Amino acid sequence: MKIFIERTKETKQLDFNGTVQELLDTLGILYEDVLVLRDGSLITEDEEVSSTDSLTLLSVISGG
Amino acid sequence: MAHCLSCEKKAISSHPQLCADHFDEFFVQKVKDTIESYNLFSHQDRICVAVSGGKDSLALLDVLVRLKYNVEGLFIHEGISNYREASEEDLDIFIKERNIPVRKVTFLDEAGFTLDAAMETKKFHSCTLCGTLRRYLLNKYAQEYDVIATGHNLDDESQTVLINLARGNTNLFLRQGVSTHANEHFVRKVKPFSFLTEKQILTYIVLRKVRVDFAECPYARLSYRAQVRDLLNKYEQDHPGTKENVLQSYLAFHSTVERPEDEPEIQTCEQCGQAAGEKVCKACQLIKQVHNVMIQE
Ligand SMILES: [Zn+2]
Ligand SMILES: [Zn+2]
Repeated sequence: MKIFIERTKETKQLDFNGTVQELLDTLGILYEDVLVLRDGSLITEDEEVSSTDSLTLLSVISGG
Repeated sequence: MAHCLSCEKKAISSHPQLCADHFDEFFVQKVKDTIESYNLFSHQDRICVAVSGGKDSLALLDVLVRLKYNVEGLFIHEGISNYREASEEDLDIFIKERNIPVRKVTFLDEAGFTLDAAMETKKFHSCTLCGTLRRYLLNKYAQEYDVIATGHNLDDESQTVLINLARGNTNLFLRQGVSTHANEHFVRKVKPFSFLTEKQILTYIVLRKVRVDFAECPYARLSYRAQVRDLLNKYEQDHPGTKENVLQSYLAFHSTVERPEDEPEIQTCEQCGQAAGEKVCKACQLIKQVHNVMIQE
């Protein structure tokens, strides 16, 4: 799985199958702090993601 | 996979659990309800939106244009390198697309230094300096408008309640609200996003395909507010609705309390002519202090 973290502009490669919530728990990120996109579309925390997915995490926190 | 509570489509948001179209409807309606139930402004008013180039102020401009309000922008550039430059490009595209008049002012032109230069002296608190100068420039350039609208959201507001409570800032505490009281010295300030979270605003921005810069203010990490934010987000995740409860409890309490009588007498600043609590206003005092420290170095 490819994960692009917008805030730090870093790309992570991860072998992961499970829900978005489980993925964020693994990464130590609060669901409240990010939006998760798969192929440019927003997905919710109960959605299943797999190793072939390419995700983007947008940080909710920013300047006004 | 969660479904929208209003139709059969896939949900793109969990709080509230809605599809893209219904989320958009919910978002715009929430802003409309806040404006109407708190009497923030009417379609006859000239509204000035304080624009930072970040998501909150752009989302606010976007919604107010959609609701056909008479809105203009005031962009205040504080001079933080690698933070605002990207935002400014996005802002230019955004305002051109919507035909919104926007005036730009900078700390450099107005005060003689950028926020970065002032912070290099290590003598000033970033958020105090930045906040004081922003308020000063906003008041200075918004005089001609009926009302100033800012992008403060439920996260900001619930954080502020807790911060003022925890720090014992009773005076500030009593002044917080969805709208400030009208007075002859200052243009009224209103917050149409008071009941929308940062996450909901970002969701709206993504759905509307507005380009914003996602960089966080480099000075924000240093702040007490950042700690309170992390704490509230943890609570919100474990107990959805916490932020709204904090703000609603405050507002319910606030409406029953009489405003303090001992408000300081308003004077006119000797240097800039704006309303001030003393002979020289806070902003002019701070600007002078920064210049003094910078000359010494
Ligand atoms: Zn729907
Ligand atoms: Zn002054």
